[in-house]
Amino acid sequence: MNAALARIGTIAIKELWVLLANKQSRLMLIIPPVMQIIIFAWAATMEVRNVDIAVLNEDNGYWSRQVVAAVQGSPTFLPVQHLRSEADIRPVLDGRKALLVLRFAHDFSATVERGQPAAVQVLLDGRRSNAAQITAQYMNDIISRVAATTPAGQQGAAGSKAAVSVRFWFNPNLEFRWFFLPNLVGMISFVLSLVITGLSVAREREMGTFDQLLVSPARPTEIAIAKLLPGGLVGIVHATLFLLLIHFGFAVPLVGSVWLFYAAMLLFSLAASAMGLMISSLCSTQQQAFLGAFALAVPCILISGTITPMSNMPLLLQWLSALTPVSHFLQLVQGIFLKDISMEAALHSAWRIALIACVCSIIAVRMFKRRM
Amino acid sequence: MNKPAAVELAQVGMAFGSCLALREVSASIPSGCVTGLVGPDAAGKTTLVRLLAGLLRPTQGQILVHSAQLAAPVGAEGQGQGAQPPLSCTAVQAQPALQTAPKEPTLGNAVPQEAAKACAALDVEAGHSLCPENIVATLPNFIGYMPQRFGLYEDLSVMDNLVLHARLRNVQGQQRAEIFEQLLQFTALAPFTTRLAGRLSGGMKQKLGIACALLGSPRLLLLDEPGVGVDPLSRRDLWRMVLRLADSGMTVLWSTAYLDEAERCPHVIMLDEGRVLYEGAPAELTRRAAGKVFAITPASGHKKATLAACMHSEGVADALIQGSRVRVVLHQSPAALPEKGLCLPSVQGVFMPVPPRLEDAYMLGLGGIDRSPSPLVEGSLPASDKPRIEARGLTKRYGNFVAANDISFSVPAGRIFGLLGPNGAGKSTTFRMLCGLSKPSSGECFVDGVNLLTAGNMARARLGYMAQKFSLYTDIPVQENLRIFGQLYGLSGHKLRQRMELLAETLALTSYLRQPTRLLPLGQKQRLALACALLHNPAVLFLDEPTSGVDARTRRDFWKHITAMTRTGVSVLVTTHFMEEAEYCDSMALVYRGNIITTGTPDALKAAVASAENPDPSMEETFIACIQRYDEEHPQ
Repeated sequence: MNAALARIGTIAIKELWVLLANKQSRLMLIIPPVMQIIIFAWAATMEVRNVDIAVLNEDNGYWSRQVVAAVQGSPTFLPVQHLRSEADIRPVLDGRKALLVLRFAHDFSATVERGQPAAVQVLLDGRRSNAAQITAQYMNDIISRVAATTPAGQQGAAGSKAAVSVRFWFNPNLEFRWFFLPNLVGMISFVLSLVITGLSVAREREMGTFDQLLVSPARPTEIAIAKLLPGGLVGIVHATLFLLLIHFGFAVPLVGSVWLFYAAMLLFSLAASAMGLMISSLCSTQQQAFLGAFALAVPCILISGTITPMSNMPLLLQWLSALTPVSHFLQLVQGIFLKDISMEAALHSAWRIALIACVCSIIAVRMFKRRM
Repeated sequence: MNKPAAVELAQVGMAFGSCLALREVSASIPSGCVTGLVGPDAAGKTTLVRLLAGLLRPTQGQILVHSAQLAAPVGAEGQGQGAQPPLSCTAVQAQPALQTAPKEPTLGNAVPQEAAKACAALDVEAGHSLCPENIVATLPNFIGYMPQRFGLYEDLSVMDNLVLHARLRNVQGQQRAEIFEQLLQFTALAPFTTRLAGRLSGGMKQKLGIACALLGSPRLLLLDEPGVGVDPLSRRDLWRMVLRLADSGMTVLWSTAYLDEAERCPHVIMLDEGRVLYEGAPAELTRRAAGKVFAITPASGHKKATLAACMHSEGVADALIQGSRVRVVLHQSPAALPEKGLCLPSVQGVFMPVPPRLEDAYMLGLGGIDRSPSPLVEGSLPASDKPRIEARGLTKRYGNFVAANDISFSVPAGRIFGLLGPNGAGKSTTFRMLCGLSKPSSGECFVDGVNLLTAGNMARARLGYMAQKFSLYTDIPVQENLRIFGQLYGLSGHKLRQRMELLAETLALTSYLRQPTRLLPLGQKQRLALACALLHNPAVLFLDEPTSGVDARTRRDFWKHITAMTRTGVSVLVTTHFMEEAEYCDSMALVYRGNIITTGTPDALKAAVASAENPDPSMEETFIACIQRYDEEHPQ
């Protein structure tokens, strides 16, 4: 037993040596995950910020200036561009200089003062439909807020009209990053652990070193366990990296326990490594292993709910996604970051990840033996 | 050698960073014949070939390819076409069929039209010479190059590989069909066109590699170690093929670590540490060893002890076993005939002068063997009367194909057993079953009395394994490889350090310990692989072509250590393509078509094929005779 543990230790240390021996592979472990987090956090956002806006104010009265001031005060919009005439509107929209144009008719303030319904024209660039929709929503909010201060608005508020107030739990401001960055942790760690372990066996096969291991007293099971450990270790290093970046860099709150996060990352990386091991036990070249890893990783991520909500998927896919460790990890990591997840709920996800890890490892060891 | 030079090298130097691969190399390659390029590992052979192929640019000096000499077909001279201008492409096209063997297909007469046009475009006048790069740029098909690790796509069939190379060489249409037919017939690959290149035997792969290099009907063919990993039978085939090409007027450069191959070339260039050690006819070089070579018949029948005594004696440049005798090469020819061993006092036996070979002169030229005794004779394994290795009816089937059929033999303690056979005969399959890398379909095998199938883990702990291809971790330092394999076999602490130090010193690895393994020269890599296999004092040593691609001097060193270890009771199972090394075996088995076709001591095998015409056959002749006899008795 001791001899077996010593052999597992030796092979695991060897794996780390090989993984960290040259500078390129060391950098590959650190740079791409950091880059991905940063790029995704800024680029892949569904929030609308820094919107270009233009105003054609033919009224220039008190109330129209109120609305423009409210727009200026919102972080969503860039400083307002002022237009002189109706003819300016088309070039601004055509040339993508503004996503939307606000137009106040010459009698706008007067109409408001009279307590009559007054209209603001909002012209939106329909080519950017998603951003336009969201911006229109913001605009609506801003205008209704201003409207509430008008004489007619104040009267209405004094009446029986009930205002609906929605409160989002766990992410009160519906910050997109709060939701997306923890998801990214799962995605990036999954791909990395899968590929690192997946390629390691295939590389050894190509180099002939796998034979050298197989003729040693080490048993296939010992080799498999030792091959999983570096994946787990890399997971822990990444956990630290992600924690620093996401929590301190991007100010996503960490409500749950840090230790639970580490434990979850370790377990998840081991499971991803086990899947990598299973792939590489079926492949004989690095090329096959690499393609295999991607063929598995992409669907696993897509059906896991990382990018799109799982509730929108067909039932079959929802059921399949329970077979990937990514979906369970998502439950865990979002629970840890955004709501202090209960131990019971955490274990519920954790044991499923562990089960997937075991099944994949057993298949891998079987395949090693069968190919002899 | 009175043939005009086709390629001339003048003061060529090649530096990679601070490392000088070639220094002031001046030599010439005569046209229309095979030139052998020999030298130990890291001598600069591959660099030279790559320079000639135009893949590298020399950092010093220049290489001139006399295209005129190359284009003029040597065979054409006798037919009155020699009067034509030297680089007349029509002359090349009109090249007559081979004179020496008229029935065989020729390759020289299929110079593509494209090349002819390019010739004209080049406007090369008689005697005009170019550097390889220019040749490659203007006449891409002029030089054919087969790299050491052949540029074949293993997942494509033989035909697909040919088609691909033909497209790359712009050989198309009717002309392509013709040249394919010729090449397939020439290489005897016609029955295997649909087979994947990766599934071919070593010899067939090399033939396909040459066929691909020949597709553009080159005038200068560069072959980088085509004989490595190829069995004697296939090597003989390859040699005949290349000889025919040279006879048809092609200029061939054949780089090799095998001196018997070089001996057959009319012209050799010998390199050592980037310098030219010798250039000229091999016979000239061989003559330098005349009078210095002796065969010793041991007084007491212990040829291994005699060998060891010779190797440690002052004045010995080389010593190896040859049949029941020991062949020694002395640095100085002795004043008197040393019949009673006067020049080697510690050696008991009858001395007889024998004619020198190229290898003897080569060893003399390189300064001879390392004469220090092997420290691996110390210690001894517990004596055992059980065989150390035992195979009982080992059979491996892949579907209907029987790769190894009913293989049985046993190796007692302290013996060396050789497993010989052509490529693809089932030798590797057998070897892999014996060291537990492949499960036999039926049969059993035992290592040091432990069943490999039921107690694999225990049995594997007793064996040391050295793979054919270097298979250690290349990115990590040399000493980490040693440490990892030591620990894997349960060594630790002081004992591990001690073994590592001893083996590093014995195998001259001490100065490399902290270097990344990938930077080691080939010979040192093989030494490291041996060191890793020996760390745990195995009772049984499995060596799969341990000296493949290693030069003669390093090979002697290897065998010194291996024979030293057998004296402590270690048994060795070895496969090799160097028939000469088979002489070190106490007994051997010849595997062919999945069966052991004959087994016995080297002398017994030789005696079995000895005939009136050839009373003392060499190991290689024995090998070929056994296979031919089996083929006659068991037609497929």
